[in-house]
Amino acid sequence: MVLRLVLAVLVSVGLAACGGGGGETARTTRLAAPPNVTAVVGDRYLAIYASADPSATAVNIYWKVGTGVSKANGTKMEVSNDPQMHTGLTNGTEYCYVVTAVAGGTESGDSAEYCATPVAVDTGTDDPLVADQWHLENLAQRGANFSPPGLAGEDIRVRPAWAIAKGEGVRIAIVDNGLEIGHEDLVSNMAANGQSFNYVTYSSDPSEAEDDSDPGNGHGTSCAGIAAARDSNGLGGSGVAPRATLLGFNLLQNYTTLNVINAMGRSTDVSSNSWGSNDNTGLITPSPSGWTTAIESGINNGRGGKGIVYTWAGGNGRLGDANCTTCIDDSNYDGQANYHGVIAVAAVNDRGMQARYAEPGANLWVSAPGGEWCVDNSTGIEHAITTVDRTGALGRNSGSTSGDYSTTDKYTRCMNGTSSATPGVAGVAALMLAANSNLTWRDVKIILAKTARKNDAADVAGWGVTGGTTVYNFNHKYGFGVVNADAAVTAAAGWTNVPAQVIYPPVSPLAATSGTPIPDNNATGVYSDISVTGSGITSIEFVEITFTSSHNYSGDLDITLTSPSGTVSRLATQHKCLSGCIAYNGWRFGSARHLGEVADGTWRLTVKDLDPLATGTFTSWGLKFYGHHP
Amino acid sequence: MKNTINFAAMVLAAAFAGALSLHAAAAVTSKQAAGKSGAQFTQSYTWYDGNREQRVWLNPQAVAEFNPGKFSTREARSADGAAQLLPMKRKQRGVRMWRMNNIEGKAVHGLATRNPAGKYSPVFHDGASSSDHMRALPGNIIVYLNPTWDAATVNSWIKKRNLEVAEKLEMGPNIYVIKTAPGLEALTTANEIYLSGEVAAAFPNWWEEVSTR
Repeated sequence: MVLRLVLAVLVSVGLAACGGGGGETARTTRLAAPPNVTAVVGDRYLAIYASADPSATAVNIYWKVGTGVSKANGTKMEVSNDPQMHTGLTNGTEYCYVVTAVAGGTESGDSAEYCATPVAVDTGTDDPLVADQWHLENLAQRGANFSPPGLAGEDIRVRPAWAIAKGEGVRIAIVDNGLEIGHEDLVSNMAANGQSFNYVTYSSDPSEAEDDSDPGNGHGTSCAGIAAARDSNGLGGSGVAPRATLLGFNLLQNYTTLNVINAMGRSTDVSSNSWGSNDNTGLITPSPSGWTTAIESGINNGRGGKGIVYTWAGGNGRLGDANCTTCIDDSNYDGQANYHGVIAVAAVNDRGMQARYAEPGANLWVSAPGGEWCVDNSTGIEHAITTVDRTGALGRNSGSTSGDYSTTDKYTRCMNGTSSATPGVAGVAALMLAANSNLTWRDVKIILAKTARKNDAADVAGWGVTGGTTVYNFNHKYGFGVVNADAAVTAAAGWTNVPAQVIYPPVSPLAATSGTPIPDNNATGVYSDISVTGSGITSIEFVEITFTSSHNYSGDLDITLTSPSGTVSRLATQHKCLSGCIAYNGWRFGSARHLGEVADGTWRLTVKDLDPLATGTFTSWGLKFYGHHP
Repeated sequence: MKNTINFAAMVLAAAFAGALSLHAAAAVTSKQAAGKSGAQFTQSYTWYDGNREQRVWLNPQAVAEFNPGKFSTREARSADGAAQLLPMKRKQRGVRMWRMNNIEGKAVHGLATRNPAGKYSPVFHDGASSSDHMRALPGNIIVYLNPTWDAATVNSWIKKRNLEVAEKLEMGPNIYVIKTAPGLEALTTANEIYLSGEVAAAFPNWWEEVSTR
């Protein structure tokens, strides 16, 4: 008798401990209402944010005008995004919301009521997708599939810049595989009268062909949207320079030497280039002579002598190839991205950290948001870039593409890469030129470096400073940091142009021969010094380093340049190459690392062979400086 | 006896060192070959990108067709009934790659003969493997003449070499596009002009693979 009573008590206690009020059984888990409901206020819209219980599979949002809303009396919204946009509202009217969590057919109780009032925003836009564009303003938005939120503030700080300029009167050429000139969110910004060009049909319309089913062929259209999608038209999102003029050139549909020369020489103010040699190979790829000559002509003669501003994708080759995960790239293995006449751009994600694919490099100038992937189970960071998409089912977003917007096929939230970062910087350059059209291409570069934001503070080992009188932060992952449109445009407006450029030596690089065997698989390596005197450069803008070695597996070599100020450029690190590494034979590296330093003094190139078997000699090297005085 | 042992030891040591050397060489070769995939080519050509000597390998089982028209497939299969489109890392609408037998250039020659308005070229790679960077020759070359030459000197040089100018490029002084047929004629003409020592640079108008980022 006593035992049965004890058991009965134990069972009833157990049941009481498991159960709760509300008629739930002992085995039902209580689903909590979302604890934090907030909204971002916009012009005739509100963006509703709600963090759901981890066990929830969905949320419901109920709303009404005025207070006192509940799921019983509110209008239920169709929830398909986070944040969920509530558009078509009346400014000045209070809208109130409650949110419930849903899991397995069970709905939680109401959250606390949250009310907000949309208002007209003078420097903002009424574009419904702008709230998703964290790269413009990071409010800790989430990506697809309710992935963790980004880090508020990790963006390009463009909104304040729009109070000064929106790119009016500045032309941005998008050199890519096409540009849908009739897209609803681009058409108002397209250059008139045949300034664009199609390298296949030889017409002035570079739109993707209607039967072109390669989903990658919306790439140029998406880049154009990042740079200069129209703002305040109630459509899509906004470009970085929403009132700039767009030109499109589908060079990548017919990539010949002559077409490259033509595209690089087109009359424009800014040229955005999200392309290059294949990534994830580990190979060094020199820049073709025709391209180099065209860029030199552009920077010296374009824009009435002030020079075209070329932005260049730094490269996505950090992940390696499926067949060779150590065949990773450095941006300095790309003879176009490491050229002095371009702005090489790296990519960061919504936490302000190096995107998984983004290549490092001593040649990198600045970084900008490129995002990760919009569906990526491996990292949990599922947040890419929202921009325009080629209209229709053949674009990146067909309207039913996994992870992408389901209510439109004209926009995508899945654009990424240094391809996305590059037009972002092109847009900032356009804002700067709109604020001050007297800037030369060199002034634009220096202002971007000077005003870039030091991100990823946790990477203490990666950040260093330059060694000149004006000190810049530098990180081989990020260049001088994340582009800061607000600071850059403000600086541009009151900028005094830098003195004329000095190139030293004016023709062939300063050279030194070594002929020293590089010890195989040895962390000490060998070095050679060049003593520079009488350069006339007290403020370096860029350094070119040419290098020749008889070592026939260049991937074994770790190469660093040390300046007279003691700063170190990492030019190459040990890696594998997808189809066999070729020797460095007059290879040109580039370094932004020594911006502002004095050129005169002793420079040291150190070469180490960090992998066994292949061997060779440090044959020769050379230096060429771009800078000014004072 | 001692000398015999020493000699034998030397022979053995030499054999061992040789074996090690062979092993090392094989390992280096293996290192170079790691990651290579696809067919391996043997015939290569030199060209000059400015003053930088470059090498390309001929793919005898591929043909490039530029500005393909609506009868492109019919034309290709007239040269090789088994001709099939060759996958490219990133398609370009201005060119079509065909997998077809072009040993000794017979397919390209035949196609060009039957369709003089068409543009066909052998296919090349920057390495000896079909997985290496791909390029082809749609015709024409770019020549950098002495920048100090006046117009009369330029015209005289062009006439002496029996060349035809397609256009003058504005990106620098005395840079011209010279007409050639598609294919190897562009490569050989550029090389001949460059190696004459009379110009600063002469290189073909290459078509190449390229990637978006």
